[in-house]
Amino acid sequence: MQRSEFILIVAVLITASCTTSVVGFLEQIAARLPLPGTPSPPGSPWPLPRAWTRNLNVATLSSKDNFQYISNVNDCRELNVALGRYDYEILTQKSGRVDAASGFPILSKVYIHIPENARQNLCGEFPKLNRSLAYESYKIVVGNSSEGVPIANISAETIWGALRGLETFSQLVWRDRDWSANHYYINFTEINDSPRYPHRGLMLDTARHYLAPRVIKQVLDAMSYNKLNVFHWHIIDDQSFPFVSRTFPELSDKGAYIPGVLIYDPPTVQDIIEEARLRGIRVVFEFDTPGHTLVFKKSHPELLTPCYGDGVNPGTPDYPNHAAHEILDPTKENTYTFMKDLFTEVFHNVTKDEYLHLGMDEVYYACWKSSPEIKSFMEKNNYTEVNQVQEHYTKRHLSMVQSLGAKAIIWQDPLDYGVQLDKDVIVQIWKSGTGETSWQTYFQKALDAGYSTLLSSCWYLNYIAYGETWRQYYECDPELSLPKPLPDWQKELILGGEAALWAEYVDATNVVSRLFPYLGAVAEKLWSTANSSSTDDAMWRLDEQRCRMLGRGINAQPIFNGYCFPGEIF
Amino acid sequence: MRNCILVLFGLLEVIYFGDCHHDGLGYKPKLAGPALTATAGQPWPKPQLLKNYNQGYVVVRPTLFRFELVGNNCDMIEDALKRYYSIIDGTVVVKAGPVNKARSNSIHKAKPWKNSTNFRGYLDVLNIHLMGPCETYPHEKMDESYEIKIDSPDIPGKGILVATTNWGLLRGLETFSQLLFPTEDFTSLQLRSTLVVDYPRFPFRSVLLDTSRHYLSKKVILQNLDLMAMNKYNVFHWHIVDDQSFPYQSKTFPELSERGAYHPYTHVYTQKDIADIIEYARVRGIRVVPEFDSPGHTLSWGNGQPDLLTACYKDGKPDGTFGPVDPTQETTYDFLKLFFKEISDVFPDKFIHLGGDEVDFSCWKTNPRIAEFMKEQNFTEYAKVEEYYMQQLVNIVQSFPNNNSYLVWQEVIDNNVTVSKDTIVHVWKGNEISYEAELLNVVKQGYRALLSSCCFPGTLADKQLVLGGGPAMWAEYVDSTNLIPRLWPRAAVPAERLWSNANVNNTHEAAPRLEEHRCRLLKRGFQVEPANGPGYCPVSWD
Repeated sequence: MQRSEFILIVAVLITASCTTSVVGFLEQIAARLPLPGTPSPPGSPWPLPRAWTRNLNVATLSSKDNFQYISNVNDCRELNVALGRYDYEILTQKSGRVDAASGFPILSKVYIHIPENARQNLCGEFPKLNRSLAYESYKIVVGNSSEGVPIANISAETIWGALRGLETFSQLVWRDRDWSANHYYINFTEINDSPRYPHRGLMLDTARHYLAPRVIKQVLDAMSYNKLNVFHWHIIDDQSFPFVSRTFPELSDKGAYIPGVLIYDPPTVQDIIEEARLRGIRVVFEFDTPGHTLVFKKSHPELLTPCYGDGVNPGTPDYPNHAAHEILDPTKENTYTFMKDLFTEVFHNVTKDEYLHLGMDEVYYACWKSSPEIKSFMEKNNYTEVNQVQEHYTKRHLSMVQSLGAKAIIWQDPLDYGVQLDKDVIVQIWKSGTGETSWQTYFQKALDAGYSTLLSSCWYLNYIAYGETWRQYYECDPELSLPKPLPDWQKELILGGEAALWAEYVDATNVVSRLFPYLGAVAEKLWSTANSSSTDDAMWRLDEQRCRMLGRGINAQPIFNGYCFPGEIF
Repeated sequence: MRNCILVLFGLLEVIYFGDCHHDGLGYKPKLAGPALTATAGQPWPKPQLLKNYNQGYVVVRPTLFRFELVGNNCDMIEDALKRYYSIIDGTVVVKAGPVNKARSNSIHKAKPWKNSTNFRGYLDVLNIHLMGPCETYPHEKMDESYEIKIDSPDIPGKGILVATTNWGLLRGLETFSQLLFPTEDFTSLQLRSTLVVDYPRFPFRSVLLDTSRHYLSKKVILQNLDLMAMNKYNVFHWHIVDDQSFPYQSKTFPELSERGAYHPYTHVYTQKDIADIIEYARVRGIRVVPEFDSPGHTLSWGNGQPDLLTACYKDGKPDGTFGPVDPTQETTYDFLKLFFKEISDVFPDKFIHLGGDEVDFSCWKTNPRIAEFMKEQNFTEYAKVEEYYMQQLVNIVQSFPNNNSYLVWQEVIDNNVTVSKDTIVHVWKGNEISYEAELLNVVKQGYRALLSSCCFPGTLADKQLVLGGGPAMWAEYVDSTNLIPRLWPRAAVPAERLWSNANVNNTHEAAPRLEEHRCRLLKRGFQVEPANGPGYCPVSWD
């Protein structure tokens, strides 16, 4: 029985330095066979820090009144809000009360140090894509002060690093197995941490099903528990247009599932951006074109290419090859002006990020091939292949967006069709076949061509199978899963990756339990040093992370048999 | 454990592994808006006969509507009427929030449905007619048939629900509540002039929950019972204990849960919890059939009952691990007699599920006492040891005053154990091809069979012996965080195969009804996930 072994190990570790024996937070039980991997000690952080040492000296927390954060900067709103968040979560796990365990020194002060100059500490700003390691790095020391009293120090170069450090600090605190006693402990610890990749994201799709703002905020919260820093908001698609544009309100008035109800109006969008910012999370908006735009038909049918399904009449389908309308019409000037007005609003009045995601995926040619207008457009421009039409749109759209001052992320598709792009466009790899169509092949091609890349192919959390599916996410690595080692210049082109949750079968009823704790597996791949943990070892920490999230009110689903703690969820 | 079922359940959620991420099923012509349009006022599962007399409809105003009991009295029905009144009242409520122009226009328009020639007036009373006696506990042979007439030629403008038993009335009330749908202005409920004549295809329609791999809170179990009733399931198959934990708090052997539950106080089902669950199920016409699986799947029993399990040996010594129940000891049967006597008293249903699946012989093979026992008994195969055990257990269970019957998983038969003829055999193994052969094998031997493998038999010679079946929710990766959205509305699908006529098997016809049903359950407050691709419900979950 793994449980008793585990308890024994922890008990031995603790009693080696203390008089009272205490046991772990984690309850992972395998009845028949011992589970593989080495159990982690309680208070193990997720994702794993770059450098983490702990010793067997333990301090205890005593009460809410006898615990305080002291920061050298008082006027940093992001920090002050975060201290409120972490104060509550660490101390109570929603249990409401803390009692000092006898026989242990009490940790009552946590010092937080960031540069005092706002230019350096970045308080008041929006988080950005920043390749420097220092941007989100932090240090934690839990140990005795010169007076021999336990204290904790968290120091960081920026507010974003401080937020990551606070999250880790909160995870170092663990609870006595006797839950009625409300004893909380922390081991003496040193951590030196910074992320492996600067772009660690989650894509949510709010077009196939609407997600209530409350649910999105809960996901943002849980993302921050896993040190993710990008919310990629696939906000519209063929099926619905919940985004409320001030320039073109008819888009959501006609395109939302329930106009006026299932929408994201400007204050709601700004509220979500702010909630994300306070957690060091960027919000990157995706307005996908020229495909995935069928919803525009409801208010602006003139924007779409009419397909000639019957060979004669515009706007006729030819099932199953194409529908009556599918893709934006690249032959009309109006299409470009409309998109310019929409994207101007999005870039200048909605998003706070430097990047816009332009989509560009899954442009199917059957409809364009049926259209005489496309044919004459090709003749006029001396195009011989339909992909040149796509290239035409892609280049104009991209240069328009760049003229607004925005930087662009696109799905990989234009590359697959041989479209040449500026090298500052970030390419997101999503396809995953075998051999020539494996993600590794696509990924390598993008790197060879000199593009900065994001990986998503192996992290499609909407695909469900039975069992411990988080393992396959954990075993996918942007570098180590490639057949050959990369030259250094190509390693630097990898910005990170994103998990994706396409929402055909997901809405507010199941989004949280579907995402967590599996998303944590992706988060650790993107944050922690390559190969820093075996999958079997990671399971123990992931289970603790799951239970920790459950204690914080996130409905994270189980990864194996067992339970978390007495009051887990009732 | 019983991976076949698990995998099948998993498969339902595997969308595809292709090269196309946004469209779910690869390229297909798209629609702006939802993937399909839900029906309005179509019941799930589909009744055996549902006929609209004409284009007419009546309108129910929830504030004025009432049920009237006209036949025999029945406490259970009076409670059910209260329950359904509040469901009907809730059906008309529109989600609070900004009202869009289109909707506010229609609200202020003077009741458009009133001006139609098809409007046949208001239905303010539904007569509820119980013809037979009021039965207390749902049982194997209960009559669940009922009839509903709304605005029929013989009672124009009126409505009546008739059934022989209270069980039929419960099913009929559920159907009645599903026939109602909001009028286009969301002020009232509409109801077509309808005849429903309905009865189940199979008498045993179960949902299995496993509360051992993960503990499920009483709250979630009760929610699941509500959902079962709304899908006309009639058996809660409670796989209450297993290797991993023993949450059943026994009166006779309290140490079983004290040492075998995940947590001795919070992760147990007390006698009060169990009584509450049985009662909640009873008044919804749902039987609670407990499963205490043995001789395998019993590791958690050993914590509180140290001599019960077979000690496994390595190099001539016990190696500290344990296998199945030790069938060679008299003490084993003394324990089983007392324990199952308690179970027989606590659970009113005549049936107890005795398990008997996945007995691993490897530990028995190492134990010298088993070897000796086989020699004494002249056994050459380990299956005989299992048979011996099962036979003893069956004899014990049959000896109780409640005259219990029992269910076993198919291995008991596969291993050629001879059990008495009134045993019900639960088939769980196999793919679409092999389960049918297994089912045939079971009924050929004259046993009655239940099916949980997957799909439903179309062509079986001896249908009388196939009692039904139902979905199983093994809980290795399921607990209270995800049970409801994982199970529903998927469990609604076998519910229809088990209740409705065999020819109700067209998925295209079913999809829009399932969409309506999913939204109906969501609106009633259950966290039921999407079933049909992109779309929305009039009231969404937030």
